[in-house]
Amino acid sequence: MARYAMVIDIDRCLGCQACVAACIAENLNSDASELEFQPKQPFSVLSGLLGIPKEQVPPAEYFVKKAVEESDKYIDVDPEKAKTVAQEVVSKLWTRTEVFRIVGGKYPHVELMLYHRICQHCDNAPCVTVCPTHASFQREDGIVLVDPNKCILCGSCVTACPYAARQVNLLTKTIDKCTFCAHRVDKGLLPACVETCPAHVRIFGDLDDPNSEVSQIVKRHKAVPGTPHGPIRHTAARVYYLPSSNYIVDVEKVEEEKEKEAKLMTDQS
Amino acid sequence: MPSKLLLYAWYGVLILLVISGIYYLHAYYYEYEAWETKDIIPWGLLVPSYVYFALASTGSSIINSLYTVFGYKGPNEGFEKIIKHGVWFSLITIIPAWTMIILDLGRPDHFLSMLTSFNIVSRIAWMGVLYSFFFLMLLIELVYFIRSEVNEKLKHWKALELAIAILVLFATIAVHSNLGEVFGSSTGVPAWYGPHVGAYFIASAVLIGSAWQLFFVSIVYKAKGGLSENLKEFFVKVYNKIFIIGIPVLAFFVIWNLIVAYYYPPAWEAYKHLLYGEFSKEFIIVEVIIGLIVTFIVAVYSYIKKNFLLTFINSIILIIVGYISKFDFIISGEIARLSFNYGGLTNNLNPYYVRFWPFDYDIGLPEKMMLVLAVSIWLILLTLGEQILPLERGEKPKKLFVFK
Ligand code: SF4
Ligand code: SF4
Ligand code: SF4
Repeated sequence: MARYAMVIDIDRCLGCQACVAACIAENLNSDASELEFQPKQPFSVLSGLLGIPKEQVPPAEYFVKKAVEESDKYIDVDPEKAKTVAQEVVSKLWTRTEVFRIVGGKYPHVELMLYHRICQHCDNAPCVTVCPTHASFQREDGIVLVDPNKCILCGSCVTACPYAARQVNLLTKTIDKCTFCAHRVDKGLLPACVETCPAHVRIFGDLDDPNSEVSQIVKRHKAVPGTPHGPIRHTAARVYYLPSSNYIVDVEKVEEEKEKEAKLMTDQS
Repeated sequence: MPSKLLLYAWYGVLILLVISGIYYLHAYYYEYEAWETKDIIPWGLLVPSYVYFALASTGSSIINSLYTVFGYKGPNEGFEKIIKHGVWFSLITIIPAWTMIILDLGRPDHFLSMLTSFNIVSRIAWMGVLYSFFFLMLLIELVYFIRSEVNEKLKHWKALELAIAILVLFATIAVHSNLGEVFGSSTGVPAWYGPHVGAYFIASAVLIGSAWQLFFVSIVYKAKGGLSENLKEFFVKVYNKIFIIGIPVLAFFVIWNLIVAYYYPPAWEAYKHLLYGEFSKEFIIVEVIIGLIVTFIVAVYSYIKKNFLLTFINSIILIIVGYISKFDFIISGEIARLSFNYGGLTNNLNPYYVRFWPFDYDIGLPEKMMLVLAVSIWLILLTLGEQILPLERGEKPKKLFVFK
């Protein structure tokens, strides 16, 4: 069985937010909506009993409507601000992953880091343990998902997650988080953010496959799980960070070595 | 009883609040543009309020067990006189707790999954089961006490009385341990994380429960015109003793919480909010100075001077401080969440701060309305029970068939 993981090489990150955009483009209004776990929009039980229909708004339309509503407040006074607000609204509405610029310390000892917030798909996931309805669950390949149709939005998984990886999907009014693009992975594709990243910052693969790039990096370099400073709790996080500025991924070399190892394996067998 | 008019006005206001609460919440839920802060403060106003009522109910139940399990009648047989009121209070006070936690669910329309897809290792899932058990046991205990007034055989069947009382105590402890674990195992909120939270809650429960019991039963007897000197003496002697022991125990756990947090920087973030931040006035002045020091001095003074009025006022203070302290403890923990060390420089920066900083928690109108709704329903039931049920010692049931 595969055991999926991700490596984030922070030093290579440009902060271009292409991963965030790719996540929105891929998951907001695409074939992800054909997923088995497509949530229904909330509907008051009482309204149902009274026979009052609730209009179902298509996701993209809802987001655009919200963004326009908010940015309209500033459009006459400060058009630049209106633009930023519209962007902020979209990113607030869809926050499966975010890239933050973190400035630490005081001048002259200032440090800058680009921190990627994303679900760690913990092997020992507290969010799965606390969920009263099994809405949060872990697949055999380790991907942690939420079934929105079972989520009662009790919020306990939010208080259980040490990585701030969970939020309310304002459209479906259920808990939402990064899915490691399970719908793509199942088709043999890479997650959208990984595929899009121009600097090969996010690397995705199977930890159980010794030849995979993630296995190689995790094995050979000091990749730390959880945050660039190590795990927050013992949740066995499976997103690794490469915090060292000395490390530069030599993709070609890794590929070469992978090929060599594969050849060796074939020869042996 | 107070004049009929006053009583009707009391019911009238409460019913009006219930109706407006239901109307508002229905309209709001139908629109459903809410919960925008649910992911920042997933457990807002309603969760501390739920915890508070759960503590009041279980705390009162622990006090009841002094009589029901340990057979302590107190001076002037006070406990024997008030026990049915005490059980009724515990029983009905779990209702607002329930109401709040159900109203706090963002998707109550998915509630059925709690039954069809029960997660056996989830504390939240067990909460429903344990509260139902607790409620059922208290109901059985109340029915037993009422029926035994008309059934001699039942009255002398002490083994049964003790068995029920032990089960109630067991349910109380189970509910408590579970509640402590819900918070204590919150890996995402360092200020709550650890076994000390359960102990802190139990100490709070005893104080909140006893303060409520004293306040509620005194009001009931006053309204019925039967707050005798004997009963006042019982309250002064027993409840002050509970306060005198309970307050230092609670202070110990507050200090313990502080020490645990001090050595764990992410948890200390929450205490920064309590000690120097937006909650500092409430924490230092209300919780520590008034809630722990003043109440302790007043309890000792009124015990020595046998002053009922002061004891009564002290109970009101404990009731209010109990609520504020639970609110601050829970909300400050959520605001702080977690912090991590960045490049050797200790920072406040953490995923939550980065996402939401600067951030203040504003209590939304829907949350307030839910609180009003739950409390109004509770007060209606509490008053109705006192009117209808035969809760006096020796009082025989007249109105309800089941007790006859
Ligand atoms: S990072 Fe948080 S949401 Fe993701 S699996 Fe771990 S605990 Fe769950
Ligand atoms: S909010 Fe939803 S996913 Fe999270 S614990 Fe509650 S039911 Fe489970
Ligand atoms: S892997 Fe997660 S963060 Fe990346 S695109 Fe998919 S859902 Fe978004």
